[in-house]
Amino acid sequence: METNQKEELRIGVYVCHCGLNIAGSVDCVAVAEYANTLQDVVVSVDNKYTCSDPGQEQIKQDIKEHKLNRIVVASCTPRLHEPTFRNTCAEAGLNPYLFEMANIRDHCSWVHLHDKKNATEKAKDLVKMAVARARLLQPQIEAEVPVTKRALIIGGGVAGIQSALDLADQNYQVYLVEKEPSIGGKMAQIDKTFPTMDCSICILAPKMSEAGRHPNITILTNSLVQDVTGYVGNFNVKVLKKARYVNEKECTACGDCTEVCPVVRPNEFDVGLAIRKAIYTPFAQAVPSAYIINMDDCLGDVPIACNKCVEKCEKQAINFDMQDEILELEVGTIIVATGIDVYDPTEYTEYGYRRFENVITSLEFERLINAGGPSGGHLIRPSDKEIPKKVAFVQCVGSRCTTRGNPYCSNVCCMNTIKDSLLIKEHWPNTDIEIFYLDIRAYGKGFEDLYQRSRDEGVKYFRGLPAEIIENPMNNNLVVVAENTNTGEIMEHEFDLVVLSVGIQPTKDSDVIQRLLTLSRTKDGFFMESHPKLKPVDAPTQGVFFAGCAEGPKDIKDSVTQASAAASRAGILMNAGKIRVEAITSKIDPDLCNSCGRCAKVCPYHAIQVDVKNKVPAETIEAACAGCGTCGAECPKGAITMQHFTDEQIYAQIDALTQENAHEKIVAFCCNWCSYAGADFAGVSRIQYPPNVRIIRTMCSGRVSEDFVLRAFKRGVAAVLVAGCHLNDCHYIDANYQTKKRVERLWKKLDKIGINKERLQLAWVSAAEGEKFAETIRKMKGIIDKVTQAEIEKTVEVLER
Amino acid sequence: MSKAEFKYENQGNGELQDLIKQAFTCLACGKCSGGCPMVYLFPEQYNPHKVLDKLVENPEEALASKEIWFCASCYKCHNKCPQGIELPEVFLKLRRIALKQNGMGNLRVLIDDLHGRIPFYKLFFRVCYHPEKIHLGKVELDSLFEKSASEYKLEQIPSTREKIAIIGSGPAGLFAACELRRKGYQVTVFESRQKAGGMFQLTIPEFRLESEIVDQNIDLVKSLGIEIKTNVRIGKDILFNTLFEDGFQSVFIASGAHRCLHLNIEGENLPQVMTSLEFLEASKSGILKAVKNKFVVIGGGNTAMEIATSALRYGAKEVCVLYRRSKDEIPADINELREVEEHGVKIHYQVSPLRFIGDEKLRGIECIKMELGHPDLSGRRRPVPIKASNFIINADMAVVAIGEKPDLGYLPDEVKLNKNGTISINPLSMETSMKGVFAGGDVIWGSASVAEAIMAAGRAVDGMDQYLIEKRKA
Ligand SMILES: Cc1cc2nc3c(=O)[nH]c(=O)nc-3n(C[C@H](O)[C@H](O)[C@H](O)COP(=O)(O)OP(=O)(O)OC[C@H]3O[C@@H](n4cnc5c(N)ncnc54)[C@H](O)[C@@H]3O)c2cc1C
Ligand code: SF4
Ligand code: SF4
Ligand code: SF4
Ligand code: SF4
Repeated sequence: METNQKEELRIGVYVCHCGLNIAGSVDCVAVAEYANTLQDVVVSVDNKYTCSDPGQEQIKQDIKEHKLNRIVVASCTPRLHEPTFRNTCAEAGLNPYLFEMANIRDHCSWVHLHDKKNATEKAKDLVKMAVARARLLQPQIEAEVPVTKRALIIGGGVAGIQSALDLADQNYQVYLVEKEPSIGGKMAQIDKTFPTMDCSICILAPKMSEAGRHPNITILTNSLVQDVTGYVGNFNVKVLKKARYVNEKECTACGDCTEVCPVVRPNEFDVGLAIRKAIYTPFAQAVPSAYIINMDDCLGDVPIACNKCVEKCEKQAINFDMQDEILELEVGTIIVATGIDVYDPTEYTEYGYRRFENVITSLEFERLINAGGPSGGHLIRPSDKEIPKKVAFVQCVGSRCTTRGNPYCSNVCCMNTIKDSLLIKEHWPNTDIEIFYLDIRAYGKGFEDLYQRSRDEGVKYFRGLPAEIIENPMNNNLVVVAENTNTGEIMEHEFDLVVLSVGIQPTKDSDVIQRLLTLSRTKDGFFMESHPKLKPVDAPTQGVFFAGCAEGPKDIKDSVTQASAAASRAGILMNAGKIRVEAITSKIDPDLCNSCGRCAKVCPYHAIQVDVKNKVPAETIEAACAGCGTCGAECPKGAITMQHFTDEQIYAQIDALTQENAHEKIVAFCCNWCSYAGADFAGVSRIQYPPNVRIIRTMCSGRVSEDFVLRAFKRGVAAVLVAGCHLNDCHYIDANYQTKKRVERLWKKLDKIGINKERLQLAWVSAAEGEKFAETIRKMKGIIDKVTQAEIEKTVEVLER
Repeated sequence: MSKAEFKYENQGNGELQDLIKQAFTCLACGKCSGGCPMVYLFPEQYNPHKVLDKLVENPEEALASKEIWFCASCYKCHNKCPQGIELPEVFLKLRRIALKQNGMGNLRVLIDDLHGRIPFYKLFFRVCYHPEKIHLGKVELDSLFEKSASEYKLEQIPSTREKIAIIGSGPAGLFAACELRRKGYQVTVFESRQKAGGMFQLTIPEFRLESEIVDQNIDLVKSLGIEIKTNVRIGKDILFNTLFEDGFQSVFIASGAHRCLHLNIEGENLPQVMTSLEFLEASKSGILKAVKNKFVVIGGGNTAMEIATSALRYGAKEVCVLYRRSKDEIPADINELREVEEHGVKIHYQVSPLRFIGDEKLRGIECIKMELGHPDLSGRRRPVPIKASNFIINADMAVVAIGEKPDLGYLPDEVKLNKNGTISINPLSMETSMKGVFAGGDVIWGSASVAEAIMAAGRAVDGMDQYLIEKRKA
């Protein structure tokens, strides 16, 4: 506060229309006029696009002309444009930390589309809060940390391989971690690829072996990432490398061992359509080109049990004593390329997959038609090994369905079926092929051509999904019952083979990766990008990037494109060699600190040193502090200042919003990573909710101290929401467990002093849960409607005592 | 927002608006129409998703149309819809609104259509259309049926074509008989029981269908010139193979699924422990004395639910259902489930009985809790007992309703069966592995619905007709 008196405050406010995105439901002119009436505001204007060059120019000019020393932009979310405007300020010679944003688009105009009056009032409040905070902002200097010039890539599908090659060619060391015995992913299993009909393995294998040979790439197959700590530029990763029992370097892939191995198992690579031994290689082109023993299948290494392979291997590459290893890696960036699994259609009981032998999935089809597959490329039907004369394809199995499988379009199955129809026609031109579809999605370059070719070849397309598939037990043929929705006629056609065009979904251990890297996933289960359009390959966690299907269903071309993009994004970070970290760490005043040690206890990063016994005051290790603010919320002495998120700044926001009609308002403390982003997502999705809420952003919900909540109630608000990431998804390891404890403490306290504890709500909202955020606010609107004026007055009275 | 939605939002007709909203989500994929028995019976007139289309386009017109009256609530389409639209429920709600707005006019038209297609349309309507759910009492029903102007028309009045034998006089047998007769065949139906009607006669509770009406309808069928021989059991009174010697050129097997599955546990032979059909028959024939206080049903299908509601009607104070898997796997239709729960029946999920306790009289059931393991071939997760989780529930009457299977000992080996004991058929012609022998209804599916049985019978009739036409040519 002292600084305020020393320096004359001169604030500029810029209210952005964002075209009609804001101006459509907020009266921006009125908001700008209102801002002009606020204390210390010198300039207040509205403009069409503040982020455009002229918009930014105006800010720069005003800073110079009007000697502005604080800037407030009321526009979109700071998660999108804070860096832009900070830069603008810096270019005009103003410390970027003297900039503040009011989110009147994602949190206001977009979510109150049809209520211009209340949206405008809310926007004024948000600007008032921003100005109040801006008045207390202080210049900060950002620290620089070094970036380790090594990268980790999780997942060795075509996307992971491409990223690895791109980075390795730029001279970065790359660790490529793959859980299967070979890299290659789904593409290795596919026969030909649309739209060009190249042979899949023929174009992939050279890339695989290049990755295998590259001096800068270390391939770790049969391996899993177990733990990730650290932060952008400085990640510490633990990888579990499971024992292979065959020395990768010695094995020449001669295959002598396989010949003598007595154990026969279905080969996972051929989706169980072919067999393998206990010692095996999944497919001929595998990289690393070394055999592997599946110990669950192996009979044992003692000569009486088996030991046949050991005896046979001339290179003595087999070693039963091999142990699982834990490797510790230090990397600067991480690329997630964990890809997809295919959907298992057993639950579509009306299609009889697994009950009827001749109903197969599209992935099984790929193996059957592949020259390297179990039938040597002869498309045969499972029941009698005959070449089918009539084949049906059923689209959208497990996709675009709200009750089973997944609600989204899997993107590749239409084109895949078109490709498959042509493959059949190429080998057996007289085959009758019928395709039952809902819509044909042939949106990419060259796709429509392929679709036309398939039609030209006489493949029949019927719009209508089969209601059921019934087997004729006499000959194992299948009757497909479907409406041709173009004519309304019900068709009952008989086929020799039916291929279910199954959808694709995120790999099943995506949740593990999500937790290790504190990522979010959208409601369809794929990883959520930092911004769907402008930062499509960046994860919200700095230093982490996405490649391939891990981020969403896509074809090979898009996977490869994204993989190169991710590699270049990671390369930019590593090339700079250092990165600035936001100046938002904690500072402890040794004079106020009484060495109680509570801060050190709650710090998830062990970033505070304190000697409780000898009363040595606490001190923050700046390099280790991540700025969550949990310590600040715990310190009973107020000795901890969270830079750029100070108590005073937050109180100023609370006070500003409660100046008028506090009894109608909800204060929501939202953490930057999940719940604030979730509220943004509600905006992006235009999910409507009541306009009573005012959001205050903190980095972590752990920052929200008891006093913030009580201050809000003391100022007469109807309700308070504390919102954070889901437990175990916290971006600061586990700081939100402190949030939970604190809110539970507060509930008890409120109960004790006779305040309805329903008025304080706690919610876990992920960045993808826009609807959940909106629903929470709707629910709370119900609560505040029941809170009476008398009740609020009583609360104020009790708390003031 | 479309015009329709907007209009109804403003009118405050919440229920209709909700239905319109559901209709908006329909993708017109056709998964509902494909297997629908009513589409099969009325291909020119009915298509469920087109009704939804109409509802989106013009709700008033849809409400005033007869299309909303076709659905026979078989629930075959329901869990297939990718948008989770519960069509029979949508139609039920639309009908309630339409009745209020437009009266019974369209219902009459439907009855006429049904009459023209199914001679025993009254039975069909009473069983499938749940008149009680649209608040139609006896008086309204009588007036509806009385006024029906239609007639089931025979194409060829004298029976000049081949002789055909039908085994079983349930919905499938009766419908096949009529359709064959319509085409001019000489039809004889063999029924092992005293009365014809199959499931209509035996198992549909008296309060939903009085036996008097069943008898009337059977007479109607007979009046078409169809011979129904009751008290004749094929395999005992007449051997299956002698049917051909007696001059029947083709046989339709529609003997249903009447063999109740047993739990095979201790105490199952106590007099107060019945099978589903024993209970339904006993209650139907009035032998059943007031049902006791604590009544337990074991099983999760529609039959189990029906028994649970009947038990309440017959005086049980407390009724509960034991089902060994979870709510996600339960085979009962969602509407049946909702209904029993509304009536206060408690469903215990993931519980399986171990033995019935009692010396001469049932006192209780020892049960064990189950957890769900890996999915089996049906895609449902297999239940496995949880160790030492045994407990006892009191019961003074119990019904085991865990499924019914066809009893097919009377068939020759040429008629091949599926692994689950049903008859193998060619799904297009409904012909079995024995030439000239066809099958339909519960014998091919295990227990399903009346509407589906009729559809199967219709298909079989086409199959038999085709078979005999070719035979004539040869
Ligand atoms: C039947 C079918 C046919 C297709 N046909 C075509 C086509 O003709 N043309 C076309 O362009 N596209 C086609 N596609 C799509 C194509 O397969 C994908 O676009 C492509 O495989 C995506 O590559 P990816 O690297 O992102 O994922 P993936 O190929 O799935 O690779 C991911 C890799 O990561 C590994 N992994 C997963 N989790 C972990 C973990 N936690 N730790 C370590 N490793 C992990 C997996 O084992 C796998 O090797 C088809 C897809 C299917 C299912
Ligand atoms: S790509 Fe085609 S088949 Fe696959 S989900 Fe989308 S529409 Fe359905
Ligand atoms: S608790 Fe959070 S803010 Fe405080 S020192 Fe630890 S990391 Fe930094
Ligand atoms: S199944 Fe559902 S989505 Fe498909 S046409 Fe029928 S009602 Fe519409
Ligand atoms: S419930 Fe049965 S009758 Fe009704 S629409 Fe669905 S399939 Fe047809």
